[in-house]
Amino acid sequence: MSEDLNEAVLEESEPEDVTGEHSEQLEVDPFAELAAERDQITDALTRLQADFENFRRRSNRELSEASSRGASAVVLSLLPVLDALDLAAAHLGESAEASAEGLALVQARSLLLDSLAKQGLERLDGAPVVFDPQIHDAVMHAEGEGEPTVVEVMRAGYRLGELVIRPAMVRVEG
Amino acid sequence: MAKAVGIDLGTTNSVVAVFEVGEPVVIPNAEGGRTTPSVVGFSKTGEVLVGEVAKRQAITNPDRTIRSVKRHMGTSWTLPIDGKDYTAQEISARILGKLKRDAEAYLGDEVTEAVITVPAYFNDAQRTATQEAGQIAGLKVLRIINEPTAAALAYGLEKDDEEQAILVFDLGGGTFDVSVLEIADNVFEVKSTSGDTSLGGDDWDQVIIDYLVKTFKDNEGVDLAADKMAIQRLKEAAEKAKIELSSLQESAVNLPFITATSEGPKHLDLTLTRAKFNELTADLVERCRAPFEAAIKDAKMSVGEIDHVVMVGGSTRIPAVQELVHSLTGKDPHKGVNPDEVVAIGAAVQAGVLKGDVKDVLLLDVTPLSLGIETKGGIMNKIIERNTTIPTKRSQTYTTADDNQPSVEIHVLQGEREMAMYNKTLGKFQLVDIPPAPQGMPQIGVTFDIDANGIVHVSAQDKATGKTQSMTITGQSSLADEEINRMVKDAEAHADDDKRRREEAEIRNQADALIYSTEKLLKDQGDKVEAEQRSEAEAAVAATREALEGSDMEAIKTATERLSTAAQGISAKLYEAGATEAGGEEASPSAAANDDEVVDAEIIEES
Repeated sequence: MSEDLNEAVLEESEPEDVTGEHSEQLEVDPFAELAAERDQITDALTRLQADFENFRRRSNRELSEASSRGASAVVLSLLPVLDALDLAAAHLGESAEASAEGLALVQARSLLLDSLAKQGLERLDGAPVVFDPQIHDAVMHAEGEGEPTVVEVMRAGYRLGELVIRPAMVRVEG
Repeated sequence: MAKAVGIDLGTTNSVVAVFEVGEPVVIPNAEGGRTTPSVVGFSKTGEVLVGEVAKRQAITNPDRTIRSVKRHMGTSWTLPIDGKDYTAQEISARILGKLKRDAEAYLGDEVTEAVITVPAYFNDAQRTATQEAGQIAGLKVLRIINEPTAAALAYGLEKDDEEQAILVFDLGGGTFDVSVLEIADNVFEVKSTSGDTSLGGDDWDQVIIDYLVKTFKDNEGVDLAADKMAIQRLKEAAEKAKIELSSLQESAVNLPFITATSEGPKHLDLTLTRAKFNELTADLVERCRAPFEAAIKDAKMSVGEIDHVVMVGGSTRIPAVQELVHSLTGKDPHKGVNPDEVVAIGAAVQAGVLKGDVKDVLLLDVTPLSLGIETKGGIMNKIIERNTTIPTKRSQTYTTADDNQPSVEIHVLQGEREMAMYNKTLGKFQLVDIPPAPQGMPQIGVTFDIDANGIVHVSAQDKATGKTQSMTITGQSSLADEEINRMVKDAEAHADDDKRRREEAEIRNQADALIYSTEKLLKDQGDKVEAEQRSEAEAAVAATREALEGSDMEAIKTATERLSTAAQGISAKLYEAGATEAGGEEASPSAAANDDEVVDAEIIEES
């Protein structure tokens, strides 16, 4: 077994060693040697340049992604607040607007949702819709007829721009 | 140019990394995650889902969703789906295929080759299956390497010349492995492996969930375990608490409206301390001990012979686990590489070595400290900032501080302090034979050129005559790390003091310059100036001179303001006169109005 586990990890290939041990002394053309070295260096430089080009292109892309990620980190940290407000509103139900406290809560919640919507936050809470794991996370499932369908959204999901920052937690049938 | 990637094909999660521009980087997947769940789902519509998306639909599609396929590698396990029997390597190939696609999207380049890691205990059949999985995914598998070996590579442990013994402690999401490696002459040998295939970070989460459920039941009389949504929220909260407790002493678990009874809604709100967490998970930590001891024993070693300890897997961030490893080995593990990513990073390093990328990359150094020259008032003017990648070349143009100054001294400095006297002198030289000229007129170009070996060439050239003087400083980077750190810390500690001194020097320089220009004005245009203005200007010059003798900065400022007002009064009068004269001589442009950038700092005159 230990035979299998041996592995030479780093390649050590030094062509100079080979020529050095060769029995007959080969005439080495200094120009050929220099040309080979030049080609090697040119190759290395080209690779580096290509790497750098790709790197720069990606850095630009990542810069814009990073700023949206920064926003998404803030929004993500606010989601539990939204969830709590959702749950509170759901708990109060129809009676929410009957009391001053309930009304305040409902208004605070819609204000927060509106503000975040202006930042590009899209709420994913439609039901019934066809189950789509890109935006839905199924935590309950019942066998049923036809296509898997979201029958209840237990916790809303959110999309910020293109990115699903949290899938909706759903109950699925079918 | 097609790239070779390194892939950690894990039981629970997989990671892909690439060696690029001299260092290995983890490639995020299309969903933005740095790790991809090793889950594959075949939807009823025939779509193949991999990763997070597959995980989300698992419950709706349990017969056609595969987790932990790695446990089946090299066996005759198959899964029938839509009339086709899928082997473990075919399922693994789906995971590899997603990693490949995501890497290609990220790199904007084709990915055709890979180094893939496997557990050290994998037998031939399991290794062959992994290789086949790569081939099915369209990857040429350059090499299959052991996970602990990859982790050691990520830390560059093979670079030591001496024979080294390395202990790799890998606590993943669902598996625990301990390996002892020996490395000599760049060859890794696995001396022993041990572990527990059903111990991982998920167990720590479960302990917290159980505790929360039990506490809630004791306090509120409601069993949350039956509520799917509550359990999902508890899972998230448990993981968050576990992560927080790695850096904090306590974590608040706050889940409002966790459930509802006939009395109304119930909220879960409690604080989990690290001490409580440690108490709850003590058994799990203890389970790491026996495999560790078995690995040491099988390697026929004593703990004292271990040279390095490497931690792999997110759960090794748990303080109690770190304490256990420290108490067992007596060593601090290597740190710095994300333990979730260290295996993929090492695989990418290996891919880089095999593709020759690592050899091709010139290891570029940086200057540990800033380099510059002393300018008027004892200020250090930085030309090359610290942490600049070398080789590099920078130039700045300076001028003289006095009329007819015949030479300048280039005082080459290294350090972070604002004032020259607190920095290290690397050398001094003179540029002489500057033709007589008013101060501010000559242009002295100073160039710093650091080659790849850290050797600094400093040259100064008088742009009028082309006369050049230079010096070469070798071994400037030979400062010990402690000394560099000390100098950087010193600069931080004295930042305020230095800033004040620098401002003082600048105020003095400004006063000096104003005295000079006012006297010149009086000398050149004195006959056109009214006697009253002239005497006020002269008095102001004298007062400023006197203030400069002393150390009262406010006095210097006040005197300079007075002088400035007096000089401006004269200038205004002269312009008025010039305007009425019509065709009067234009004021000569100042020396600074040249094309070249002239820094507002002057080289001190040779003393």
